[in-house]
Amino acid sequence: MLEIRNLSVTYPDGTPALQNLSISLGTREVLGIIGESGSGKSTLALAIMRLLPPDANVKGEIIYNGKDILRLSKSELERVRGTEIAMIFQDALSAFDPLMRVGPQIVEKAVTNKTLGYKEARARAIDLMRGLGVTNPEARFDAYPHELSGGLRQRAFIAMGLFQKPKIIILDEPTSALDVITQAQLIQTIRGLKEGGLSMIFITHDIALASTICDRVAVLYAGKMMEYGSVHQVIHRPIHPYTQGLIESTPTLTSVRRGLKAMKGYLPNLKSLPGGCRFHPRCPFATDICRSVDPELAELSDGRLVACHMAADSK
Amino acid sequence: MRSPPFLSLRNIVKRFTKVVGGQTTLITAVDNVNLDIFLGQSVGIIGESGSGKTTLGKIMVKLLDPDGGTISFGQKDITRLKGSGLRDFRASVQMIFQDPYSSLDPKMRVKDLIADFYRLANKKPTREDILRQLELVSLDQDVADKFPHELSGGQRQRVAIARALSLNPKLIVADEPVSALDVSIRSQILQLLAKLQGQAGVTYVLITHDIATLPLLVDYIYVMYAGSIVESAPTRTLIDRPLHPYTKALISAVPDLDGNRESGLPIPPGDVEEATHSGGCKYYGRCPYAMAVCRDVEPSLRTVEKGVMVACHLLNR
Repeated sequence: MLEIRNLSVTYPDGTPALQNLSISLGTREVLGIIGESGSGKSTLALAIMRLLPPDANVKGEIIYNGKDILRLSKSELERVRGTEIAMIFQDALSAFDPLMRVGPQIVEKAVTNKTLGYKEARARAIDLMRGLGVTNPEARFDAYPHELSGGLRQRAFIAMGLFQKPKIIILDEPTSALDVITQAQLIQTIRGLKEGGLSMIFITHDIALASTICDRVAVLYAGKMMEYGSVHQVIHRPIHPYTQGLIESTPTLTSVRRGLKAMKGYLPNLKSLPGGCRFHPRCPFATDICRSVDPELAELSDGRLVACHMAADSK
Repeated sequence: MRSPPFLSLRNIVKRFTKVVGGQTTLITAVDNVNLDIFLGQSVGIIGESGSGKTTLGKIMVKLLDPDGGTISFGQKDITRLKGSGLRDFRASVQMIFQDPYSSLDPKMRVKDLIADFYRLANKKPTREDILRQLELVSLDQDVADKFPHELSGGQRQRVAIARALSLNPKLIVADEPVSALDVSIRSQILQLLAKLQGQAGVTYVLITHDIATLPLLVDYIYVMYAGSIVESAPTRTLIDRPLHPYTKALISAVPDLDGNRESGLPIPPGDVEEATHSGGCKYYGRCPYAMAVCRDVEPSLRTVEKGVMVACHLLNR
């Protein structure tokens, strides 16, 4: 569906946000992008939507339908955005104009493009909202954004993203502002979308949440991909020490019985990354080579990719 | 005999007015809550957003006055006390917030932020005192001369903890202390809080929506829903054998690393804000087991076994 080749992004202030990332999204697949602050996970989403600041230095290719999104003309890009690829992010409140009712904002693009009349559009939006678990969708259509609870607002946001029937949706921390029960409801809804044939990129800091919905996951650290494979490989049998650390430091109701481990140190400053492997100051297994040589992403015998000198040795 | 509670809340009520569509409605954020804190026994308060847990925490540290009920500190009623009458209380009870950035004055250096707290007790700290506080939370000495914006989120939360500990409090009320932090930093702070429990002898009230962070730190959990406590039990009992349907839902909604939920329980529809039922059990509209009685009669919190209290008609049958 979507193929990203050697994508690098450097912000105008010199911050290397993403380095040489190659990743692909299959049809009906949910691809998880897992990372902490500064991992580059949101930069990736913005790059795909071409929403990065115009003076950001972007290299590489993002191939969709045989064309490179990074080289599309303005009108081609307009068509891709929304009708082919839509993006949902964490903060639904900022996605809506507070002075406009929710419903008209959901249908706005289709109505101004004259692809649908307002009456038809309204009926479709209400159907869509109902399908996304919005209770009493007729009333919600006419409500103002602040009148909806966080969970309902996020559903309305998804309805806005889905209204033009995109083939791919990018979900950037879609449930982070919600509490656990609302989050679980929304994950069920997202699973339904996957069964309905949508392909998704699911961006999250929460590795446990990723394990509940993704098919394949990539773990990013400080702008670089560290491990990439199936959920079974990466989350259940992690090889990269950073992935292992993330899992060990995620408290879950069952992991507490094993005891919680903490990763040492802090996230690095992207402008003064440590030499060699960028994770080496925090890695419990770091040796001399890790301090001097940045490990290449290498394929292991089970097909996953790992950027770690230790993993390459064991092959 | 158990010693008397360190802090005791009785029949606490707090109401706020909310204007919706030009109409003023009265919202009961905390509805008749009873809660005892014993030194050495840390407690967790868990609930969704809108459950009233943060309001309750602010009342507990006297940042907010309740509209009804009493707060006792030791054996003394401090509900109406202000200013100097609260000096002992302020020195022994501290609060840590979710966002360490907004709780630290950006114009002050770390050493001054910490020194400021000593002044509350008319003490003047030496540089050694400040460095000792930083060491307690595993921060390097050079942090003392930095401003909050020069620190990472995790370092800032450590400063907030160092500051809260400066007057040797007995009790720290922590409202979502790790939820704004990165995952790899979160576990460090949880471990630090656990270490301080032993080393500095503090008792915590940990307020969170994330039940997975509780077992490491607390012995007893209160579950809040729409302003009321619906279940309270020792931590392990609550997680292994939740009794209230809402507690069951909260636990089964926690994502597990195995990719499945712990139980096959249905996820309740709606959320606290839109689905709260009045006139009976507040959970009535979302509860998969609701009966006729639940619609009309609010269940009271009853002891169902030693140390376990539940407010649910299912357990009255």
